[in-house]
Amino acid sequence: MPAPIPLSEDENGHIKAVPHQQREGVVTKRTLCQTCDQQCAVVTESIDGQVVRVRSSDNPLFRDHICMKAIASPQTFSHPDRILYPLKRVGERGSGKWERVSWEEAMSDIGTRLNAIIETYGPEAWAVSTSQWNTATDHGLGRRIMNHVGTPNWTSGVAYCAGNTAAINRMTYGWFPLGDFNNTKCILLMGHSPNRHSWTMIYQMLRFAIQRGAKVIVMDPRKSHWAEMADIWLPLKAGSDTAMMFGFLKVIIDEGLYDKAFVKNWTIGFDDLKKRVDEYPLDRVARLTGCDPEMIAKAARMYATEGPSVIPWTPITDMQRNSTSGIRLQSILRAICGHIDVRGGEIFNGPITDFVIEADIEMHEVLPHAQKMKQLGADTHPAFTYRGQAAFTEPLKRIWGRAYVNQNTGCYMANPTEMFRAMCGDGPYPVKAFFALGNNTILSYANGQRIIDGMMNQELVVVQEHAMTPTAQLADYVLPGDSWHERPWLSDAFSWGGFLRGSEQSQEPMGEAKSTWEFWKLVANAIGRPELVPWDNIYDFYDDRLKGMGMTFKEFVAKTDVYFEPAQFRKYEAKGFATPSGKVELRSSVLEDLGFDGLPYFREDPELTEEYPLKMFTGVREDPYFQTAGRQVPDMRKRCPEPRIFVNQKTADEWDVQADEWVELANELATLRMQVEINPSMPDDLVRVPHGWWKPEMEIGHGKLSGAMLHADSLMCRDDPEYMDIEQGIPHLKGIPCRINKITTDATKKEGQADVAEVH
Amino acid sequence: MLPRFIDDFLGKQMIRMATAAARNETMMDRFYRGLFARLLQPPKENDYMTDDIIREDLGYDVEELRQYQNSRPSRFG
Repeated sequence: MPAPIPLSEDENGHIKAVPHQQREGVVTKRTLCQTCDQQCAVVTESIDGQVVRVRSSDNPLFRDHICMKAIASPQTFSHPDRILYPLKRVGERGSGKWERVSWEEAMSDIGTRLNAIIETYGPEAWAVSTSQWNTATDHGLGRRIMNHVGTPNWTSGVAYCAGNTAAINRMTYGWFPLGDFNNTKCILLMGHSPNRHSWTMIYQMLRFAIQRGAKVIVMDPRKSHWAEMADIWLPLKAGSDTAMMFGFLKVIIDEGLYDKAFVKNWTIGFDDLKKRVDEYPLDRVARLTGCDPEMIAKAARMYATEGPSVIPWTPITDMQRNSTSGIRLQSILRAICGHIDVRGGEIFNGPITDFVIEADIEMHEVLPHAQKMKQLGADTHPAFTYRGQAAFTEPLKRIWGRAYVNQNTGCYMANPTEMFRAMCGDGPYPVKAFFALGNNTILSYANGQRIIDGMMNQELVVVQEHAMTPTAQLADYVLPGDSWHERPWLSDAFSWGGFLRGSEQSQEPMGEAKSTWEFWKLVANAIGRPELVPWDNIYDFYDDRLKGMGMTFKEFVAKTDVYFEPAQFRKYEAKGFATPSGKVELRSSVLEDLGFDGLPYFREDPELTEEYPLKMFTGVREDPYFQTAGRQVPDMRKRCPEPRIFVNQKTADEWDVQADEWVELANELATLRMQVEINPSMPDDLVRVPHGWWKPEMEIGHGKLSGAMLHADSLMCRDDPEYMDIEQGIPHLKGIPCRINKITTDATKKEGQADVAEVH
Repeated sequence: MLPRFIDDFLGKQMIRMATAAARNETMMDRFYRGLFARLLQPPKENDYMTDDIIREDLGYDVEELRQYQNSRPSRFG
């Protein structure tokens, strides 16, 4: 994620690119790819007003920051079935029948119906789910409107991602820092596995760090490519990361390898933490994780003494029943070893000076306290809700001058499971209007069937998308979203990266596609609140945000590829940390005040049953796709044509399945159909399940959802209390009990193979 | 780890060189650009960037792309 962090306090590192020699008839633009969350700097080449090529940046600092998804993007956005015009449902919800309408007609009806729902049920009956990464032009505008209307029920896929990580990091030191990959001496990868075509920028930074000589410790049940090149590989049991970190702490504390001066001066709760850590002697940790205690000790020593070390953000601990404790333990390790806010460690990048950040646009201060407390999940799983983050408003103001900073858009979210329960009518109050923006909701969160039921129970569902996703198929209106080729963009890396970058518009939007920013402006108009979006267009909006820095958006883009301020270290020595105590809270006062254990802990998985003796993990990206997107793109689909589970040969033999065989994967919630891949990197009795599968070429409509009912992992992801984190309410996706069923009848076999349709 | 002042000095030099390399106007800029290109190019046998889809990409032909886009009517209007 990060751009190069300046190594000198005197340099601001404004790097201006010089483009390659122009080809005749080709227009080049410097852009940021928004296919995934990495925002790689790339160049688009257009002929006759259409992007035909995406290539690597001309700036040598961003050499080869590009993956196959960016290269295929001209094909992606030219797909014959791309949604290019507003569509209105015909017949029953989920009928799969649509009629084309104008934007004016759609927005007029949406505004009228939304106002009626708010009038009848209250503003909190309106919920929104979005993927901020690829609807990037939202810029907080949606939340701004929601806050003024009075609904707190906004959530996002970042609830299982860097958003919840940001919110939980705050419990320890008030901020979510970012690793200084350029200067670090040791990297601890916790199951995270960036590669050439996924998390490309981080992949490259990690590789350069290794070439520089940085040590690498990998925790991963699989023998991943990172495990193969690691100094130490800990093949832990899936979902036991939290126990492993207790083992690290046990060694580090017992052997006095922590930064004693920092602990003494800048932390509270060390003695309590030590007592808790003492409950995890290495032999217990070895039993819980399945790893050799000597190797655990060696890795802990390496992390503590070879530093400054970094623990890069990982999606693994974001999706576990011990997620809160796992993320807390990462931050505790960073802190007590003295790796925070130092060069080569974890940097606390604050908001860019004089720049209007997205939290300023969102205006959380206007949402009344009573409405904040109504946020779904606030009573049961409050950690990343307004209630859970309320204690940070004063500290954030003290350190960063703002009461609200919404790092990675994840610090003031409704709990997704509670939101979908309320949509089904099982919540504290009804939710009756649901908007999904660039978010294939049904496939993006646990218990997909509940989400389907919730959507079927709505009075108004609005989706803005590129493709007719399973989620879009249950909407009243499907509105065409623009692509990153078709919009300008200004990114501050979600108030996390400490840098600012601009992206030029490469071509006009196809059909009647509009940006999410324009969508929200139209919503404000439609509900009779045009004053909430006072900017005429997105360029005015960007100019306003940059005004304090003395430049317009166009001047900014012309001036620099990346803008960052000099890195400053040990800032806490002047103002302390953004926690209620002003110190690093090893024992979290915020969690205790919310009624939870202030110290991290580890809950062991329930015993496996005879019926479901295997464990599966999901949430894994496949290189040609980002999350649930891209299955309709021929150049990508041919690289990964079918959903395939990975098992090793021993597990395959035990379950009598062969490579390429279609099988059923089953648990209490669902039975899916997948193809088998024998993969030697997998440990025994563990099944890797691909994330987000549906087949756009298959039959649409409720009950089918383009193959999602056969292949979508979300249908198997449990969200019952046994398999859910307590403080955040995040489901356990790294160790779900399951079984493999052979497909025995010819008819079913044929049905399974009939899914293999040609993709156009 | 190197003493802080050496680390700072080297850091400043690197940023200056990178800035010059990106500017690509003077002879020294081009020298630094070449130097960076060389430094950032791993040995062939260890070139993890190697991937045909990246190396051989020439983009799409605009006519081909438009034919693809109009190859059939949209299923959704």
